[in-house]
Amino acid sequence: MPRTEPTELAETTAEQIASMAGDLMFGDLFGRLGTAARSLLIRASVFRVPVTAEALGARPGPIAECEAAGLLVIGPGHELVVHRWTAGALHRQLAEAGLGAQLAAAHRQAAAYWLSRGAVSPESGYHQRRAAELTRVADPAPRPGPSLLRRGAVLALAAVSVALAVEAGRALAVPHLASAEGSAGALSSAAGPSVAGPSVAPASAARDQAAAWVAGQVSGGAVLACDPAMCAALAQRGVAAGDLLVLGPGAGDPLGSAVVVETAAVRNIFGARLVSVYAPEVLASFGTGAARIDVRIVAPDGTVAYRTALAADVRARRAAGAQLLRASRITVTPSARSALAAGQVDARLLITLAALAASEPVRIDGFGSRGPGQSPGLALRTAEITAPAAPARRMLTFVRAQRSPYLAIRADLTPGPDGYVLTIEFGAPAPLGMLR
Amino acid sequence: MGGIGKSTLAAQIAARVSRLQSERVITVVNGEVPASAPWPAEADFVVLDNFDDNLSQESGRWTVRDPALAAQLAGWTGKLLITCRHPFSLGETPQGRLTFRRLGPLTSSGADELSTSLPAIRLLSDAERDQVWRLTAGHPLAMEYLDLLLARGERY
Repeated sequence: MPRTEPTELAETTAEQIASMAGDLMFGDLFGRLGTAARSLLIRASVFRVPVTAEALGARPGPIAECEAAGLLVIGPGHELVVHRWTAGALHRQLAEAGLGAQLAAAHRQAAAYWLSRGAVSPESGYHQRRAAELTRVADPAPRPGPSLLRRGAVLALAAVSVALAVEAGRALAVPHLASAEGSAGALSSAAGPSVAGPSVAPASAARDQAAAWVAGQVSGGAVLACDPAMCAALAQRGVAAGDLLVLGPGAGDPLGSAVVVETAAVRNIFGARLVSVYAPEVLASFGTGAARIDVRIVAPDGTVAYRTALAADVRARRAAGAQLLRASRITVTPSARSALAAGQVDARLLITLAALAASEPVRIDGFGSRGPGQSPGLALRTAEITAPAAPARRMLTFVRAQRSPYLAIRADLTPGPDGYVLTIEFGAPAPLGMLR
Repeated sequence: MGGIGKSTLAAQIAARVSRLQSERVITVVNGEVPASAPWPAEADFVVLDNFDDNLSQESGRWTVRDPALAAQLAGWTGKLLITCRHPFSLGETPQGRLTFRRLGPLTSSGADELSTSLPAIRLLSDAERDQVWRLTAGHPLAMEYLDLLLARGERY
């Protein structure tokens, strides 16, 4: 096929440039997807041939989101395809983030799909081999990752051009964190509704409290599984309908969601399997007895895998916290020191604090945002930092300029006794494996 | 090179052949060719898309993994169009009639032509479109990514 016009670059050079540009832009497009859409894209990306939405257990909302982002193609017969170049970029980024286990799980699901069809196909064998290879590659032993401060510096560099364009936000009065433990109640009451009076039925009161907490604390775009009444309460609180997965008899499992709100109705559907199989950990709990409502994190690969990942995450958070405590530009109160040393602080906060410390001295007053009844090991998602006015405004601008997964659900400045207090809060649930 | 448009080109060739030579029986096999039934016996134009799935790499060379498939390709007398990211050999089997054509990145004028179908990039000035071509190295899928991001207000 003779060319009529030469390209200026050698093809190998062109390929390298295209690959770097593609990876950068893929990261931007992928970073804007919600949790359900990301999960769908990962599942779809391992297939080598077009498959139906049913094969992926996918709902129309995430499919449309991935398609609109240009990362998923819908064929003329409604079959779904992730271009191999796109899949390659996604798989590289998952591997770099230490999330190869997610790919292995996707391959296992794909193998199960082909086997369930019963037809003779090389695809099931391929996915089984890939799952085994990825599982072997995954290193179960803790290993030193890149320096947290270096990660923070990279984040800082990436955000600089955006930060310059973002205006510092207005100050809002919020309660301060006295300590990691003591703050939880203050923040919970700030985020939650007024407690229902004696005329309100306990189930209804617990539902209102849970809906307010979820609407205020769970990351935007996360899919929430709930019974019809709970979903209606969440919709009233402003949760988008597309982020709600309504559970009912025969509606299937909650695995397409990030969080499941366990009410009595949901307990009746799933019984003990909800805790033992689908959603072992509690983000927050409201009410008592039959009216009790637990907000649970869904474990997409099962309880055992989730708890293993959570334990590894606590270890990594502890190591990263120790790095921050050694940093000369960071000073901490005793309660903050204790939370960092114990690995209680959300990885997104740790990386953000390292990024802030790359350009400003950072004084950490405390950490908080523990949900009422939260399971042990789950991270504290809020930090309070004190700084003089100008650095505080620069830090606020920086924090607000981030993108998912480093975009906080709240970042505010409020006057304090020693300057200004910057409050940074990330949404629940905290992603695992970011520090590997 | 991935994302350069091999499959799209192959699909367009197959569609054109089907239109111009309607008597032909065209079969498209995507990915790994099943050993038990590679393609229908009555097919006389076979398109093997994403043929990489049938290769293995040894000592830096890409080879068709299944000797039976290699033999079938070498002995095939009908029309055959293969898309693949790597040049490959048939192993011990002679290459037969196989020849390779490399599909490279878009030239400047090729990128201009693609730009007319990209809603955000086509609004750029000539100089900016030239910059797009250089920054993406004329890679069609990278240009499509950039178009989506520009449409959402991103700036690079």
